[in-house]
Amino acid sequence: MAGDTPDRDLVFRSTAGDRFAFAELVRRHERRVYNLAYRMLGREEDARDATQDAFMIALRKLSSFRGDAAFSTWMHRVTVNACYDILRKRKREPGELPEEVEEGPSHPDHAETTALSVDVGRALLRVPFEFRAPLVLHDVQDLPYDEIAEILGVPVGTVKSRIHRGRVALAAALGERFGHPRTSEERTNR
Amino acid sequence: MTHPEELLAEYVDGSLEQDERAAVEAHLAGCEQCRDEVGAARRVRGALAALPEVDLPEGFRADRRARRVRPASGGRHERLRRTLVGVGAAAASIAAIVGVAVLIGNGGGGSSSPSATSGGGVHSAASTAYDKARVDQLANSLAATSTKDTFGSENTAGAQTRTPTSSRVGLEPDAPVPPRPSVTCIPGAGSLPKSAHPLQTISRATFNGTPASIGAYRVGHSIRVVVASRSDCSVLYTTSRPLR
Repeated sequence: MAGDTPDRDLVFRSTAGDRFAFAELVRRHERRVYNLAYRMLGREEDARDATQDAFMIALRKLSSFRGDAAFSTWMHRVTVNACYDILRKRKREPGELPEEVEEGPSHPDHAETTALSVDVGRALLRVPFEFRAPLVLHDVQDLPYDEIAEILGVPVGTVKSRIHRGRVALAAALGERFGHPRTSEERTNR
Repeated sequence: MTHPEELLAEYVDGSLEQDERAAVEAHLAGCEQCRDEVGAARRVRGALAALPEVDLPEGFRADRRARRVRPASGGRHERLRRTLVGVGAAAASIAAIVGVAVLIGNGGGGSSSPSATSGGGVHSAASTAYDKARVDQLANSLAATSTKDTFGSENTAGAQTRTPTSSRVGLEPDAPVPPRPSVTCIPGAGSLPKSAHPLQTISRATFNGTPASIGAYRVGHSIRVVVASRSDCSVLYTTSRPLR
């Protein structure tokens, strides 16, 4: 399978039953999908489930994917929805910190960055789901606003304001680390 | 005071045009809350960008669940499969039903004409050639994979016949059959009891080379498959299997 076969062609061949084409699509996108799920859900176990669900759903729905959007955009949407389903299944309010969130390495002699990443990763889970998705897609995965709008099915302006609200919520959740004695006043969700 | 939240995200990103940036800075000059937020947002933005990409877990197969799926090629396979799952068929049945789907018509875009969708199941132009052995195999598969509960009233696979008269083929043998160019008779019509529940119909097939239609039905606790000639509706072959 040529590495430069466009996604669109692989999609077409997958819908025709070519399992090697689908395997190649998986190979190309699995890392991003897994990382998105991991940052959204915070636990390896959940990220594994969401990733496997996402690709299963993608294969099932592939014939309805028209190809006017990029496959990766569509795949991101499938992943975000799979993450949301996992959260709902575990009956947690999106935004509530899961008790079993993984304890990462936080030894004092670890690099500041590592300890901070663990804190940021865990604090992300306190950010309400509808802010967390655009936040991860933009600030972690570097996707542009209009693509995020397409992924989430909301207007671009909504994406931007949710990103701002998400950053503020994340900062509040990290409160002490940034030496911010007072937390921001809670605003109503938009 | 309204706060320009949309613009604040871009302001922190540094992607605003000059006039919009000036407008935001004018607002910030008079709004401590937004100043605080922008400061906080800047700090977390850096932290988020520094989050490492995580590796896939050791031995993780992202396509492990996808492997059990046949790619949807128009919905018929999926409808049949989902229906059976939905009414509680055992997981093993799914593989067998998929096997049946392969048997009846290979996946990958059945090319049956619209008027031929008079029954549930899977159509394919590629493999509609039947003989006694293959019909027997079909009967065996259906008997093995269905239980008495599988094809209940919710079964859409069985109820997909579009005859306006009734969803039970053979119930009213003298009811007018709407003319369909590619189907001249309903297999088994008139020879099946009222309780016959249609499972699948293959409207355009051949049986030992003769143009035929094939219908599979649940009759009581048995599966019956009827092969009828498309030219004169005579029954070419019929077989039945008891349900487990």
